[in-house]
Amino acid sequence: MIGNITIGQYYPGSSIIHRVDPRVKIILTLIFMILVFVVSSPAGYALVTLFTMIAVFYSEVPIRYALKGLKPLLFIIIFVALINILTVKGETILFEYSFIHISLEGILTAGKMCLRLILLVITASLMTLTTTPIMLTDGIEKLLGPLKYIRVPTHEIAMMMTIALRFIPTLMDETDKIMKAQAARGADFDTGNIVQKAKSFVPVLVPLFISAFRRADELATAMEARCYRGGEGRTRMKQLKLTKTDAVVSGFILIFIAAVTTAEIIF
Amino acid sequence: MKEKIDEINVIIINTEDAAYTYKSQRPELSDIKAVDGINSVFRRGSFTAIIGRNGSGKSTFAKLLNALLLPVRGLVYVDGISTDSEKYLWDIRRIVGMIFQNPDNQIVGTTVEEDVAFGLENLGVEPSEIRRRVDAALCTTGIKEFMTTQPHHLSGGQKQKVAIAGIIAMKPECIVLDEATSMLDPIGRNEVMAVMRQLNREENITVIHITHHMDEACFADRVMIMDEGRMVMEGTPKEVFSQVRKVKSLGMDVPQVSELMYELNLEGFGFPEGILDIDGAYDAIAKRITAENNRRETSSGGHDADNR
Repeated sequence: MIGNITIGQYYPGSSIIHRVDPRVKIILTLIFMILVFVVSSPAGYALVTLFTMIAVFYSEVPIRYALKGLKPLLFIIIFVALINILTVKGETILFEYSFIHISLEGILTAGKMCLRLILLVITASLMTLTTTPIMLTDGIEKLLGPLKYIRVPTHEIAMMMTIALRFIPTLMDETDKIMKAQAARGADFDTGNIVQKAKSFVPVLVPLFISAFRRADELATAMEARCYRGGEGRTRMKQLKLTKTDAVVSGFILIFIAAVTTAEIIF
Repeated sequence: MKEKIDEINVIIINTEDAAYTYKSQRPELSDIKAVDGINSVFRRGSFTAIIGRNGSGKSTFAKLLNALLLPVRGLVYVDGISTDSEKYLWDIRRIVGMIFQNPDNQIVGTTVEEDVAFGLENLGVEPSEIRRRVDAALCTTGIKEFMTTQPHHLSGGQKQKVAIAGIIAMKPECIVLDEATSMLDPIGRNEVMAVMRQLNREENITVIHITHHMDEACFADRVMIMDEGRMVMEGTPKEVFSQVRKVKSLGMDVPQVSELMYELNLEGFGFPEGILDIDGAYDAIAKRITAENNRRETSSGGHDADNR
């Protein structure tokens, strides 16, 4: 029923974008996202769109994977577009009927907003498509590192994320098994309205929770038996190291930012 | 004095009147004495099987051996150090590695190599040294090819091997398997047992194997039977399993071959005691049949009339 679920949405590959250090990738993605928000000139939009296209091209991720993230947001994008078209008051009226005014400016603003959203979603999914969940976790742990000094338990947060990633497939399998077991006892998950469907999941969730707690207990014992004692004095086998690739990619982004800023000033 | 030191060096774990009691959650119920005064000695490089019915205290006893539980009475020594000395807690846990029953619930890493590295990372070993030891451990257990595989894609036997690799990377001197084979299919069980026997023979790692499977207990140098928190029988597999009636009275089966020989002996065949494996039984029975045939041939003067 649940079958082959992949955690995150990593698309295996060895492109230049795949090889960028997760820390650098997270920071650059954030910078780019801010940039997408601040551009306002047509030239600026053209540049960020061009850049996204270049990034997708170099990541060697098939376009349809990169666009897949848009699907759940389609409704929101259409909604934003409609609101903008219908509410923005412009001078060039294209269409008018009782309370509906559609102006050229409205359509342009709608277009800009949609482009922004689409670019944001594509960059975000590009990051998760080219970074394994574990690399992301490592990157986040390192980036949050300084927060340790203000008593944020960064190691614990990272460990929890790792364990969650590790156990999602296991618990998925278990859910599947419990659903089948309950179905064999006559449980019905597919009929009825949404409330009835939700209710029919109670006999699945209760055993699942009990089992998850038992697993957590056993895992804690096993971790203790393997000398786990929190983040202090702990080393990591895989060290994150900045390479030439990171320098090249960061340099490219800096040049790009400069280009966008110039474009914004001139136009 | 010299002799005394040697004696200490050959012993990896010993317990002196060790006892553990689970406090009952409700006042009306009495506390449960899971382990009730066990004296035992485990020699370096030995392979011991501990068997006993459910609730006999085997798992509790196992947890006493690496300070996951501390005895409420008596003492447990690992390499001469009492397990209640907090200072050496992490040394004790490194020396005595433990494999648990459920292969899923003891794997922490999202890939095989990450999990094998987990223990070493906890010990604060240098990254390059971790890499080296992880690779060595993966080779020893024969799971090098699954290095970057996610654990949920592995079979039960392979998962247990990952757990074993994670332990041997920490260079333990003793590995306790707490019913580690009970959730595996026969193939997985054989694989895990093969790895453990190899580690025992080649790396001289002490193995304490808690199991329900009598066939696995036969491979051990020594068998201990627990019942109601006490060690009730102890000896070589031959010594223990030849006492079929006593073993059965403790609620356990003997290996199938022992059972067969026992039943045959009850019928008055008088086979020698302590035959545990199929080959041994085959030899004994074949020898008996040939002897019987020869006897008949001579007594009936060469007539093959009643050749039954």
